[in-house]
Amino acid sequence: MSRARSFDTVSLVAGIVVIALGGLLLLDRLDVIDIGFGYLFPLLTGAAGAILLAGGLAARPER
Amino acid sequence: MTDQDPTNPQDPPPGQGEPGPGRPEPDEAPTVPHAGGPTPRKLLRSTGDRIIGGVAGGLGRYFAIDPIIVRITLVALAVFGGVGVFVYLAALLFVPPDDRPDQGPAVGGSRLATIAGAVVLGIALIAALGNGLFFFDAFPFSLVLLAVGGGVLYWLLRDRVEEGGAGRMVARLALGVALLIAAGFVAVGAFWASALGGGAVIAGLIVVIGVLLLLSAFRGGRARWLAVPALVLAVPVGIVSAADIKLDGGYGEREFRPTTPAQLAPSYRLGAGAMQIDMRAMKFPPGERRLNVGMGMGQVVLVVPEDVCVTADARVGAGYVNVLDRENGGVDVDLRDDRPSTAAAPRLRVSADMGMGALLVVNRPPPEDFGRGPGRSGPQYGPQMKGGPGAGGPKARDFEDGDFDDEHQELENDPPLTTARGEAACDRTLASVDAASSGTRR
Repeated sequence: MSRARSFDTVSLVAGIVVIALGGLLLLDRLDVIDIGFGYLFPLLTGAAGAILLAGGLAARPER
Repeated sequence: MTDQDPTNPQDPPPGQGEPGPGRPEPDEAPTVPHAGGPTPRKLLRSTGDRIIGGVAGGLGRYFAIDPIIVRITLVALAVFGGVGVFVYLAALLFVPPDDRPDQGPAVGGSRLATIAGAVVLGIALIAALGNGLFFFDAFPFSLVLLAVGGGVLYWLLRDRVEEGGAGRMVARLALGVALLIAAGFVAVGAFWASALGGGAVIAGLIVVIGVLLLLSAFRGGRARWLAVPALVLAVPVGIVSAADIKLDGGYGEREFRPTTPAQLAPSYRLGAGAMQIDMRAMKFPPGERRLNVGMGMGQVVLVVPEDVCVTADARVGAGYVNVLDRENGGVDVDLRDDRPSTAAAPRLRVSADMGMGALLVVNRPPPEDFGRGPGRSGPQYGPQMKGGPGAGGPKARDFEDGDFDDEHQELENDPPLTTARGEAACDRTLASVDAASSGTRR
């Protein structure tokens, strides 16, 4: 199996995005930062959009 | 071998494959697979993947990206400045059509995910530009935008929908609904757990899921699905964080009627529900009295005597604040009314910290069904406060045009919640203090 098939870029992007998202939420819950709704919506939709876009752009065989 | 499919899984994306037989060296000009061997890549309008003139299909094939990305970009450029129209027309005029047979899309990624990702990112961009108020200040517009997006999505995918059998579609739909219900339960559980103080634990769990995703990237991405529960958990935790909801003060309905200053506690807190503090029977002594109010989710009503000047420092994550007709609403609401203080006049300084809900400071208690329209469970505040700044504003017109006509008529017959004396209490108090000072000076 080639190296390109054993490494999944989508999971990499999703992992980085989820870690960043969870980290920010953790910092907020620990009162280090304060996330308001003004930041929350772009944060959540941006995270979901980045993961979806990475999944969509990743080359996979057509069904 | 006939025309080689560029989406063949054996073919890595351009620039990522190992050089070998039939493949160009990295320093060679990029080519696209074609019958008869590699040919120089050339920009052509697609005749097999076209909606209007095949420009987006050709550009997608040329750059080896999904044409949907090109289409969304062109539409965005057309809407914001009109450049997309000129680019498209120029390509239509100057780019020749691709007459080769058997043209497929340049890449075989999930088109649905690509479209959804692009749309969601677009919404995120708009939300960021609007400082997060997109869904609240322009809710009808966002609905129209989402409806248009859904229509475009269906139009682009209609062939796939029609290709599948009805039974298969129903089965998939049922599975999707079941997964949505399960996600809903998880989200609600995460919301309550986070509001009860477990938010840090859930946020830590999200980080762990992210690490697992990262590790799975090196093992073929078998755990991609973990991204879904991570986002399902992140949404409620994010809402609790943004609104700063704390449900550690109990729940239910609370009513307090202090009649003496000693009976008025310095602080009141409720996790969720409704709380009313009626101070009309209480004689406020001259000087400032502080009152701290905390509410996770719900409604707080403070009924104050008419001769008391009220100043406020209220923060509401999402909801509405009305302090004697000085009002504010939406998300991340801050209402600060810090008037000059004097020790000679009765003054109540309210500090409120609320997650989601409404804070009302009035001179008479509202009716029990105040703020709830027919068949509505959630509060609808704002225009009911007659005589205040919101009475004749846009909110009042929206209210009359909506489903609340009956309630509005009923409220028209009720006396106002804030009296003219209450509204002028601070000014009158200060004026009397000024007059007393003048008399002393004389």
